[in-house]
Amino acid sequence: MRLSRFQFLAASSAAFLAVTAQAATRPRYGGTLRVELQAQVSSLDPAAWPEDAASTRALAKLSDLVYDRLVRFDAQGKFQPALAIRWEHDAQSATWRFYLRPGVKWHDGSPLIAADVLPALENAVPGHPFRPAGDALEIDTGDPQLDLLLTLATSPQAIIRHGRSGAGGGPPVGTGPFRVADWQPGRRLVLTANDDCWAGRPYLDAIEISLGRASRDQLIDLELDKTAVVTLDPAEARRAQQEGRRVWTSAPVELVCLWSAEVEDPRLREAVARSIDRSAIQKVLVQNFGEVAAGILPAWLSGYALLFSTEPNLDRARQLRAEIGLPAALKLGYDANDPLARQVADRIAVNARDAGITLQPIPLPGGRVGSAGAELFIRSFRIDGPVFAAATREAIRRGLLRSGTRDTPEDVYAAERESIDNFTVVPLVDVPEIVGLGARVENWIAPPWGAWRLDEIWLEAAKP
Amino acid sequence: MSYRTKLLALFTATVVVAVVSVTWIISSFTRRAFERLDDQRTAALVAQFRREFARRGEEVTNRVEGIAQAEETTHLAVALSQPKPDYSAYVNEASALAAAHQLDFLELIAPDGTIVSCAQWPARFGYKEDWVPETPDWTSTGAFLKREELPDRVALALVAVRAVRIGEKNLFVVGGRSLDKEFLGSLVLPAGMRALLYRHLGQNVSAASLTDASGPVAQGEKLLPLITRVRQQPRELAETIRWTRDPVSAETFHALPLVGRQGELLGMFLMGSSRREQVELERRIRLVALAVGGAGILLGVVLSGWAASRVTRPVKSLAGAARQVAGGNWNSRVEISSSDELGELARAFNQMTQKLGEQRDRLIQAERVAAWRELARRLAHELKNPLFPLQITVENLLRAREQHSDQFEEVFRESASTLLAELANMRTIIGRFSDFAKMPHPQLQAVRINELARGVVKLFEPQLNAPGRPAIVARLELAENLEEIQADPDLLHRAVQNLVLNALDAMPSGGTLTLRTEPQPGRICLAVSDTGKGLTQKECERLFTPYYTTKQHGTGLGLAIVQSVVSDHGGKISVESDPERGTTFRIELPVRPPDAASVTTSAVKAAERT
Repeated sequence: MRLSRFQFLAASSAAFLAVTAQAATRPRYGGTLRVELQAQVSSLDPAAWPEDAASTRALAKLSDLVYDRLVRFDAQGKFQPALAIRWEHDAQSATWRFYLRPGVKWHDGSPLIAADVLPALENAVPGHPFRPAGDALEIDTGDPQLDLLLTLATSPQAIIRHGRSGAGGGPPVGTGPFRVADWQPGRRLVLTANDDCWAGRPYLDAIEISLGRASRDQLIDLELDKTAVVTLDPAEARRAQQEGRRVWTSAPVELVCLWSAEVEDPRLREAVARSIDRSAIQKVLVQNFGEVAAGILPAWLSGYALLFSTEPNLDRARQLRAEIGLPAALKLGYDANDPLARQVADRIAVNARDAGITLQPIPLPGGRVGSAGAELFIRSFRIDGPVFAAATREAIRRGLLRSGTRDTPEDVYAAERESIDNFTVVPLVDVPEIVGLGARVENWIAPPWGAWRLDEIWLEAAKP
Repeated sequence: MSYRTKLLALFTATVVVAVVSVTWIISSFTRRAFERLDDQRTAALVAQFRREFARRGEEVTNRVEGIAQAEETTHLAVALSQPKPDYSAYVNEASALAAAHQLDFLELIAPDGTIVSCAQWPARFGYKEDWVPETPDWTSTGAFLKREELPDRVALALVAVRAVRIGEKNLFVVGGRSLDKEFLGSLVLPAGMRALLYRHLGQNVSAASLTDASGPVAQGEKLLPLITRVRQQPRELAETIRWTRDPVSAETFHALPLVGRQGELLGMFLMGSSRREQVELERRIRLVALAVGGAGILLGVVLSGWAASRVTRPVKSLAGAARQVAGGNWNSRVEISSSDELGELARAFNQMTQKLGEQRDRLIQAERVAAWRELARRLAHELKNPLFPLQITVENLLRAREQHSDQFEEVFRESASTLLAELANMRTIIGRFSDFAKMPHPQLQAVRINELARGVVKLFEPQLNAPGRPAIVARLELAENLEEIQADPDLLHRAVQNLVLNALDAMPSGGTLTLRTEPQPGRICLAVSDTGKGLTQKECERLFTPYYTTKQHGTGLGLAIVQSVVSDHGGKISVESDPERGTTFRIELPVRPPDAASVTTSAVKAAERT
């Protein structure tokens, strides 16, 4: 299993480096990149978790443009220095010291000092705050903190500083490649290049990001050359492909699954799971993008997903339904802002009806589990990086795997087997992130897990 | 019931019957007129529904044909006719086409029946609609009703099917529009009518499937019996529903079954016709009838009162005069106030009383003559007996003085003795008549009847047990605790004594004398019975006539005296006799006789009569 994951990462990284090398031959400074997103992000604070998954993903992308972290992943999933130029820890990994990169400035021009970083890292290790140690930051937890680098490399732990008026007084200030020039929550964000960025000035002068644009409208804007980067749903992506446009897809990084843990009768959970035709979902609703999901973690990351069955068994579902006897009518909640979740919910309701089970899809704001009295939920689970441990930890945090699961493949497999065999989690489809690109966009070097590197992009000069 | 009441009842009944009959007739005509109007309106609405249904069907058919003939549909059909076509690229085609052609339902179906795209339920892609390819040629088939499943409900749809033929393969276009409240809203309804649609799309009958142009029907469950009947026997049926207790709320519903392509019942069209106008008109008719009836009855009361008074006043006057005649006032007359039948009756009554008075006078005169004749006869008879010995004695005396002077002295003494005896006899006879003529007035005082009876029996005891005479047994059957009565003890004693004497005379061969007393309400009864040979009916009738007697030597005054005494006490006397078994005289005396004046008057009258 480790070999499989390694092979995938190696291939992805090779391609990433090759594209990077080719694109770097003709960089061009200047220009404004127009981007459209479906999500309606209402806050630029990475610690303010949005309600819906789409907003979470969009916020992560925007955060990477404005803020930095102490450490970051590289294309191989290894930790690389960012705002921390180096770090060290004791033998037990209980005491850590991070040395800040010198000469870094906030977007407002003030120098970055250790005291500025402490508030952003306040909850990195609950109960154990960082403390300044000269130009360094130090933390002593008393217990081994083997995942501390992983924690610091993920989105909520971005180094930010809130505006002068406090958290609500304006957009937070960061040290990233772009600074916030105009912020209209939920509608529009304008970023300008940070000339003083420690990593160097980005090629683009500015990025204009429109929020809350439907996939269909984004495709139209792309066709009309009103925008250069759009996020597309599978249907529009297929149409764009048929029209010969540039479409970039990530690895299948987002699991769409059925969450049934609140259905008490295991026979009913199994009957619903057995009635689902996942292949139809993948072929039609996802338009052959991504792949049928067998496990909770995608096959490219875990390597063992093929061990789980994905075939529907309608006879078994009907048999279980007959055993249950009583009228089976359940409510199936889905994220009201996620069109794919609604389509998947509708399809599952159709499949379940074949087994004699009535599922009523109901839209839920944010698609939060446990809301509005729904017993079943369509949930999304996004892999934010190539690190197996990080993905495992996120799956545990989302409740898809039992808590306490260690991040070894054996333990994670056992935990997945337990969830899947209990039919509390029914993986449906792994969906990639699909981006439509304009003809002028050059040096699109996004890693396979979907993180955008817009600071590396330049725009080809417009043709007269 | 008085004549006035009868007349009023008759008059009222006549008015009521007339008003009710007229009301019923008018109501019946009204009801029939409304029913005819309702039938006409229902027929017109059914025709309108059928026209609108057909128009909608043509509209749906045309739109589906438009989609089938569109260039983009042809391209789609070409793409799907390729080997191993990829349906997923067209999963959203139906939604766009349905929106462009204003159809509520649209499915694009592959040659094998697989749903390529479904506008009304996009998630149904990949499922089969086997009934579509079973009919390869849909060209001549118009729109029809179909049960359409949706994610959250089942709808009733008017659908049409057309095929796009590419080579040997068909792409089927199944499109339709919902048959719902919007359809009902397109019908032009007359005032007081409404159209409902019942969608029979599940196993059970449910009021939730009933809708009108504004949405779900309130109290729809009241229509379920009619719907159930139509479901059991799919034909047009009607039923009247009363939504509240008020009849004005009643509504007559005609249910028209709606069937699908294969004759299956899929719904019902219900036309409701309010009965408000009819009921209100009937109410107004009844109100007018009630008012007319009430006025008629009131008029009847007045008229019947007037008529009754016109009729009954002379009748009452006649009745009063008759009662006066019955009371002895033979001079009573009634006033003749009209010349009609009642006047004639009054005139006849007056003539009758006049003639009766004349006849009574003549009768009294005749009775007086008869009484005097009887008196003379009795007196002559009574006096004739002693006169004959007197005559013989005087003749013997004269003969002895002429022929036997020596014996004259002796004859004279004997003759003188005889003459004195006979003269005494004559004096006695005359005394009796004189006593009867001189009946005294009763002197009232408290009298115990039982003691009086015992005293009379005791007085006659020597005669009852006289030697040489057949024995007569006296028996007293006296009630205990009798009230004292107000009476003249001497007169009463004399009357009872006469009755006992008569009883003894009636039993020459012996027998039983019975005196019986018994209380009665307000009076006391005294009966004197013998066991003699009894009296005939004719004898009984004349028994109390003065000077009438059945005895050889009676004066005929005894029972007359008894009747006079009893009458003077305000009582009455009666006789019951059974031949060969005996006779009973019954005296009924009031405990408190009428006032003294009346008694006196009665006594005076009795005296006058004698």
